[in-house]
Order: sequence, then C-alpha cells, then structure tokens
Amino acid sequence: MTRLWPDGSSIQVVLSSPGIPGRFTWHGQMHPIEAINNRWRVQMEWWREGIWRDYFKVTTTTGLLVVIFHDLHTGDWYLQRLYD
Amino acid sequence: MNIYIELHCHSNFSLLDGASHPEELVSRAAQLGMSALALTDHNAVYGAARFIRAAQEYGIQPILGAELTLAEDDNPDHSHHLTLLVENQAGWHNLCYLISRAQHNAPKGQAVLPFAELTGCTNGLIALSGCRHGLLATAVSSRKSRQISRKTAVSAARRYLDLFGRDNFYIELQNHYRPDDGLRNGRLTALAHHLKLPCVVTNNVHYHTPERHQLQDVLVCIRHLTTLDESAHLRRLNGEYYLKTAGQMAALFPDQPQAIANTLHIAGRCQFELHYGLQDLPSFPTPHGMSTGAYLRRLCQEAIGQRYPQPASRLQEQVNHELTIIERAGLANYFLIVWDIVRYARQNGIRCQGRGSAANSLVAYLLNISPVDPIAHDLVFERFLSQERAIAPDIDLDFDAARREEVIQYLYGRYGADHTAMACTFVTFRAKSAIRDIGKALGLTPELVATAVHALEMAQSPKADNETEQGALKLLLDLGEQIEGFPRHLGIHSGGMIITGSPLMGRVPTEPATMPDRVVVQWDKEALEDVGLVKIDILGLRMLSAISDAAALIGESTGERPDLDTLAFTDTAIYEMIGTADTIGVFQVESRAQAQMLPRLKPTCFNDLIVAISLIRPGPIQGNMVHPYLRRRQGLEPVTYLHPLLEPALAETLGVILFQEQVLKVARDLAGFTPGQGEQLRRALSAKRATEEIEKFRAAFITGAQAKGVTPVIAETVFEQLLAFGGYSFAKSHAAAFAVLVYQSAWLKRYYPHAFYAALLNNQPMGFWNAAVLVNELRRQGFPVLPVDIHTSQPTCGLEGNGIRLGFNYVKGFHEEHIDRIMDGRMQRPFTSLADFCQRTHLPRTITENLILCGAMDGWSLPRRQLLWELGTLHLPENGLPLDITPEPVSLPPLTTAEAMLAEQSVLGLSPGDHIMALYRAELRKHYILGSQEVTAVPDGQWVQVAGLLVVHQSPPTAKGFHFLTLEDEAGMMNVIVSPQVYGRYRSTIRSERLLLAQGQVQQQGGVTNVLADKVSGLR
Repeated sequence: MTRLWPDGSSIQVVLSSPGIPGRFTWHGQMHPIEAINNRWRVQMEWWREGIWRDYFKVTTTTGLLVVIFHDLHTGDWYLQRLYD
Repeated sequence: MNIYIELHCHSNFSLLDGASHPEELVSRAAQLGMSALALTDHNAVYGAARFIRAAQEYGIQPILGAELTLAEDDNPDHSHHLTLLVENQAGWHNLCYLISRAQHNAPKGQAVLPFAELTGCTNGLIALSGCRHGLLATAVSSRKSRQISRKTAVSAARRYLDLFGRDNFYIELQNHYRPDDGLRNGRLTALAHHLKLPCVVTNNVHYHTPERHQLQDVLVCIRHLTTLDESAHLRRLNGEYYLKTAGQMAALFPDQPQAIANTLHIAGRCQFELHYGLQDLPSFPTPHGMSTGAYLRRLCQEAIGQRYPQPASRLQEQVNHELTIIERAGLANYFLIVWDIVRYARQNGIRCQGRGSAANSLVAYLLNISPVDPIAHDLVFERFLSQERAIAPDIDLDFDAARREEVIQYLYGRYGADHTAMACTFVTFRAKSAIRDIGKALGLTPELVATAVHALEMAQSPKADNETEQGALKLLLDLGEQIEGFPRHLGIHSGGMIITGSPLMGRVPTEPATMPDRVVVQWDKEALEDVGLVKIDILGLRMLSAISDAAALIGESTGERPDLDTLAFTDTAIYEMIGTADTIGVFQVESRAQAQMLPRLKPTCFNDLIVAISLIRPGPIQGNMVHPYLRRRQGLEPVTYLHPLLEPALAETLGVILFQEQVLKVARDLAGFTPGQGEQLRRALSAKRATEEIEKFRAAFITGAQAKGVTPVIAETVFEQLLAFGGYSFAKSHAAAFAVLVYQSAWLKRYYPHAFYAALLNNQPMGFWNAAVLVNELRRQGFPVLPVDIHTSQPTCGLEGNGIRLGFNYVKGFHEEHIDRIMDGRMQRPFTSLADFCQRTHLPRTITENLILCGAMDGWSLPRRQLLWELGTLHLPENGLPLDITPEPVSLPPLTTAEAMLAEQSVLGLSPGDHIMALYRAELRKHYILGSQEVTAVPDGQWVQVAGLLVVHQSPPTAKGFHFLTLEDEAGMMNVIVSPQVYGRYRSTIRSERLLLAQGQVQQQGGVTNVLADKVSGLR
C-alpha cells in the first residue's frame, strides 16, 4: 500500500549538490538517500498561486522508497508519497 | 567557448504553438554565445526570411529546417514528428517538396506526410529522430512488452537509416524534467548503441526565455478553443522548453558529451544559404528562337515607330541605355513576362496600368506597362533599376478590380498550376482581439475582458472591483502585449504572384489557400523580397473598373465609347474643375484634405496633378513641405535654393523636395553621385538604415560636393534635409501613373457626370465618399437620381434620360438570383400588381418589403404603406402554387416624407429623393442657422451657426488632436474644425449624432471656408 500526503509532509533536506537532495529528516529521523530513481519538474497553474516543484523519487539507506518534492517558490521540502 | 547549438527550435511561426518571434530566439541564442541556431517550425518555413535576417544582424549562422509530421499510410491517425535540417541546396529542394506534399495532403492547418513519400526526397537533409512524439521515442516508450517495443524501435530506426543514410540520421535526446524522460533517453541511447548510430541533444525549444511558457500555455488554449483550467492534458507539464545555456544542457546530459558535441558537428555541415533570383522565372518563348534581349529590343523599336513619328535622338539613347542595363541584369525575360500579362489584359479589354517605380522606365512605357512617358515628365530610370543595384525590381500592375481574376487565371493557364502561386499574408494578433482570445483562455468573465478592452482603447490602466480581478486584468494585459503581432493564421496576398520555371514545390513550400483551387507560397511579400524571389503584383483597382464601366455606359447611351487612353491632358476645363475642389469621386484628389489644398494649388497642367497627389501624404505633411510649397506657389514667399546647383533638380517643385527622384538628382548635381549611387543613398535614407551606412554616404556626399565647390556647411545642410525627407518620400513615377487616372476620372466627371457616378455607385466601396454623398452630389449638379423601380431598374445602376436609375444592387438583401427572377418575370410581361409580382417572382417576403420601402413599387401609384399592408395579407407558398388572394379595401395614412426617407436610407444606404437637411431648412432659416452655400459668403472671423449631416469625421495622426468634420446639406459640404479642447467637451455628441449643429468662427483662407467650432450639438 502507498501512503499519500497530497499537500506534502514537511521534511528537512541536506543537499548533495545544488538542487539535489542528499539526505532528509522526517519526523525526527534521518534518511540518507541511496539513489535517485527519477526526477521531474512541474510548473502549473501560474494563473493562480502557481505550482513550481521539483520532484524526486528516491530510495534511502533506511529502506524507504519515497517521492519528495522541493517547492521552488518557498524553498521548502516535503514528502508526498511513501511506497510500501 | 560555445559547446552547444540548438537544433530544434520553434518560433511563433509554429502557429499557436511557438511563443517567441524568430528575432527574439536569435537574439537570445547570440546572447548565450551560440554561433548558430536552427529554426524547425511545424511543417513550415514561414519564418525563414525573418530568421535569416535576424541571424545576419546578430552574426550567427542560420540553419533552416522544419519539424515534419508523418503518418503511416495504413494508420493515418497516428502521426509522429521528425526533425529535418537543410545541409545544402538539394536538401532545401527536398524540404520544400516534403512540406508542400504534407500541406497539400491534409486539411488546412493539419499537414501530414504519408511516410512512403519520404522515399527519394531525403538527399541533402539531416534527420533527427524527433521529440517524444517521434517514431523512435514513441516506440521505446510503448506500453507493449520491452521486447516488442525494442523490436519496433529497431525496425523504425532501420527505415530511417535506409532513407537518410548512416551519416545523416541522429537519434534525438531531450530532457525536460518529465517523469518519463530518463527512461526514454536510456532506451534511445541503448538503441543508438545497438545500431551504432550517433545521438544528438536538443531542447525542442518553444520560447526564448522561461517566462514565455505562460504565453505558450495560452496559445495552446487558443488553438484548442479551451481554457487553462480545462486543458491540463493539452499543455506541457512545465516551462523547460526555452533556449538553455550550454552549461544547462550539459548538466541535463552528464553522460552524453558526444551527443552535445554533435550539435556543433551538425551545425558545421549545415552551411546552406538561400539564393533566389531571375533564374527562377520561366523562360519566355520568343519567335524563331531569338534571345529574350533581342526580342525585347525589337518590341521597343516597333513601339517607337508606332508612337513617335519623329523620334528624338534622346529617346533612342534612353532606350539603348535602359536595354543595356536590363540585359546586363538578365531582366529581359522578366520584362517580356510582364509585357505578356499586360498584352493579354488589353487584348481582352481589361483596363490595366503599371504603378510604382516602373513608370520611370521608357521601356516599360513602350511596352504599354506604364502609362507615363518618362522623358516627357523628366523621370529617372535609375530609381527603378541601375547598374549598381541589378536585382529584379518590383513591377506592380493595377487591373480593373472586377476582372483581375481573369488575369490570374490566365497566368495559371499559361504557366501551369505547379509553377504559379500567390504570396501569403500573415493575419496577426491585434491588441483588442488578442485580449479577447487570452481572456477566454484565462476563463475570465466577458465583463472583465470588456473592462480590459475599454482600458486599452482609452490607453488607461484598467480598474477592477477587487484585488483578484485586478491581478487577472494585469496578467491579461501583460500577455496581450506579448502576443501582439504574433502570426495567427495565413491569408492570401491581394495580388503578389510567384511564377517559376521549375516546379514551385521544390523552390519554396506551397500550401492550399482557403480559397478553393488557390495555392499560396509560405512566404509573405516582405519575406519574398528578403530572399529575392521575384514577385509580380497583380492588383485590383476599383477606379479602373469604374472608368471602364463609365466608358461602357457612355458607349451604350451615345453610341460612341470614348477612348480615354488618347486624352492629351491639356483640357483647361478639367484643371479649372479640379482647382475649385469640385472633385467628389475623382481618383486621389477627392478627399477633404485635397479639397482644402486644391484651391490654393490651382493645378493647370498634368505635372500639377502629380504634385497634388504627392503633397497630401503623411510624408510631406510630417516633413513640413506642404505649406512652404503652397506659399511659394501662391507667390507669398520667394523661391530660393540653398545652392544654385540645386536649381535644376528642385525647380519643378519650387525649391522644395517632394519626390524620391529628386534625391537622386540632388545627389548627382550637388555631389557628383551616379544615379545608381543616388538610388543607394535614397534607399539607405528611406529605410533609416544603420547610422554607419548613412555616415558613409554623408562623407561621400560632402567630399563630392566640395569637389564641385560647395562648402561643407551647405553640403551638410542639404544632406540633413535629404535625411529628414527620406523616410516619408513618394516616387514621382508612381504619382505620375496615378495622375493619369486622376485626369481620366476628372474628364469623365466633367463631361459625363451621370455615367461616371453610376459607374462609381456600381463599384462601391471605393474612394473617400460613400454612395449617399455621391448621389447627393450628382443631384446638386442637376442630374436626377431615380429610385429603384421593379419595372425599369437594371441589376446595376444605369443611365436614364439625363440622370441615373438606381439598380437592384442597392437594395438590401438582394442576391443575383433575386434579380434574375425579376428580370425573367418582366421579360414575359410587365408586373401589374403586387400579387402578380409575388406570384411570378416568389421572392422572400423581406426582399419584397424592401422593394416597397425604397419606392421600387411606386409605379402602381399606391401608397407604400398600403402595399406593405397588402403584402401582409398575401399567402406566399414556397412551392409556387397559385396564390389565395383576398384583397380588401383599406385606408391607411401615407408615410411622411421623413419616414419614407428613413426607410429608403435603411434599405438603400442612401435616399434618392430630397436631402434630409431640406426638411429642416425653413426652421433653420428662422434661427439664422446657415447652410453650406451661405457660409461661403460670410466674412472671415464672423461667428455663425451651421447645421448639416455628418458625412466624414477625421482625426489624422498628423493633426495633433484636431478633428475635421464634413457636414453635408442639400447644397453642398462644409468643413468644421474642432480643436482638441472643444472635442473633449462634445466628444459623445459628435460620435453619436448624425445631424449636427455647430457654432463657431468662420475662417476664409485661400478660397476655402472652415468653421472653427466652439460648440457642437445634435440637431433636434
């Protein structure tokens, strides 16, 4: 089963290189990123508030497969999807 | 150092898809340090000329190409894309052919090429496998099993390999941060590796900067007639389709340095440059295999023999001089083709004449292309063609507008449909329509869009009710500003024809026009000029139709058709008429501004007509030449020259520069330029070329002038005058060709006004005044204008007695078929009653009603209102069965004169009876309100009140906010001038009322009466 946070669950990210996440902290636990499996950028609804996000589908050394995103308007990071 | 070149790039000539002008893309590419850029619009090279020009300006190499839409023969609904780049001439030929085939193969705007048609047409082209809609990309991304999709991709790649060859086919990789990009690129790379094919990186650019992705989204919505909210599936996921730096592209493909480097390698191969010229024209067949030059010479000699019983030696010298330049430039064939068109028209009684700079040529005159003898009018051949600038000059031909199509068909027939096409035009977004389109895409309410349009009209900032709406309005106007001038769709140019010797499709892409059986090339007039593809303008001129029709009407009524082409331009009665501004309907000199000027100019000869046409133009008005000229003409200021050497060039216009040809003459006389150099100078000045080029000419001019003993100060002053004049000038030859029509139309007005006005009425809309004014003018001159009459009217207006009878063409809603039914019925026997008319013509009720209302059935001596009532009682079956008529006696009050007049006005657009102002005359007199004739007798400076029907309202940009109103009454016209302040007070009255009362001060000047309004109101 996949768990989904439509608006994202806040995480803290440390970058490995500009724009690229190296590890993140979620609910107080640190998850080093093992591999980035995919990434994509969404830029929509600019005629309203606008969505501008970089998404990353990553696996962590802690055994998670998650989708996290970087809100490019605010600079904040969120976890959106956790695969079982 | 530059390490990446964009090879897949769409401009806004990928209609309603690309979101940047070619110039913006080129400028950005240059800024990013790219040494080259490709333009690959969808199935088109519409933007190629602008792209090349911009690339030259920015010093980067333009690569031509296109993104072609392909489909399998057996699966036409599944189309895919292929990027093609032109390596050499053969490649250009093939690209043109493939695009043309794709365009002709499908409905307009949906070009698609059957895959099989690529065969044999790939030489000289480099193919990139395309975007994610490419055949390979879709194959590797297919949801079918990995094995099947890989197999499909391999076989597709092999097909391309076979078609294009190993050196000319690249696997195209793109990364726009879409979720599937990584997977697809991995599989494409593997495929390339397997087949030992090279890869190349592109970005499928759709706009030059990231910000434009918003506009791109909007364009997608406009294309699909939808809104942003409802189009998520149609729009792109993000805004990554902009021109990226080499660094950004390298970062997107860290493992593909070779695919990045290949962009440079491909660019290095695509060094093709477009070249067109006279060799594209068909070879004109000459008798006995003569050379075209010899044949042209013979035609000229024959014409000299016919036209000049004793040719002067200067004439022969000029012909020889022109023929030498024409032959040296390889233009003899071109002249013969144009001569042949004119010959066809004349043989078939289609009035025509050349306009523009061609009238500077004696050869053109001898070949009957131009109506003006350039020697008699001291014209300069080099303005048309010179040794220094031996490119094909434009020859524009005007034809009787009603018969222009016959000429076009002749050309299609003579040279073949594969060799003949029209130039296209691009219909572009204009401010207001753009706002409406964008408003719809943004999903805004019509009220909010109307607010924006209103703000735009008023040049104000729009005000909305709340912050959200205010934000939406700002967005709307911002996007509107960006989209203005974007091409929206294609149209047909009014007359530009391209004729080629080899089939057109291989020279330039063609596509079907909206008009059936008509083909356009993918370039507009400017683009054709830029690339040097020879175009012949076949233009329709309604005045030629009117002159032709008038001559025919005169022929019918008098038995003798006047030969207008033999008029000698010496009739003083004609010049007197023009000098009193009695010119309503006369070509070019009928406008309000001309009427103000003519009494001061008082033309007395043909040359004065040339001056009259040239004076009232934005150029001389803005260049402040009109009043100095007129003052000198009236003897109010002396004729002086800055230097005696200027006198020969400027004497004809009293020391004022008025014609383009005078630039050449001044440069020749003062600075020793050859006529050809003078023409180069004129072109540089008129195009406001780069200062660098003008400065070069300035230096040469001053040095040349010094050699002739002219001081640098004077030379500098003269050069500055030429510079100021340059941008606004007008060719004397063009004015001279038009002056012929001024004289001919004036002659018709002077001697056969009823035939002339009938012809003008039959060719509306044309000229400055509408039909109602023409009718009133004719009546004022004492010629009756008879109403439409079902018993006597013809399909068009004709002559009856010494007046004219309005034709059925003036009845609202009438079609040819309706006219035929009346004419057929009348042929059998006269209509005896309304019932008889209805029974035999079966016209729709509204048409019959219109006939009653405009008085066409007054012949039965029954009041119109009674006829209308009777019409209501008739049962009009559609199947033509006998009518069930039950006439009952009825007594109704007749229509009042005013009611009848209003009804006539609404049905005919004019009123054949009295002028509406005549109804008010007695009342106006009581209040000392003057009419058009009375006001001319009022002394200068006196205060008056005048009233009339507003027929013209002008506010030309040159008038600094002043408005000019022309009021008409039963006796004539009067001019009312409204200052910006007064206009501000009475704006809504002037814009909404048709009958106006103006109060103000009379101004009498040079035979012209104006009222300077102080107050304006509606006449109640």
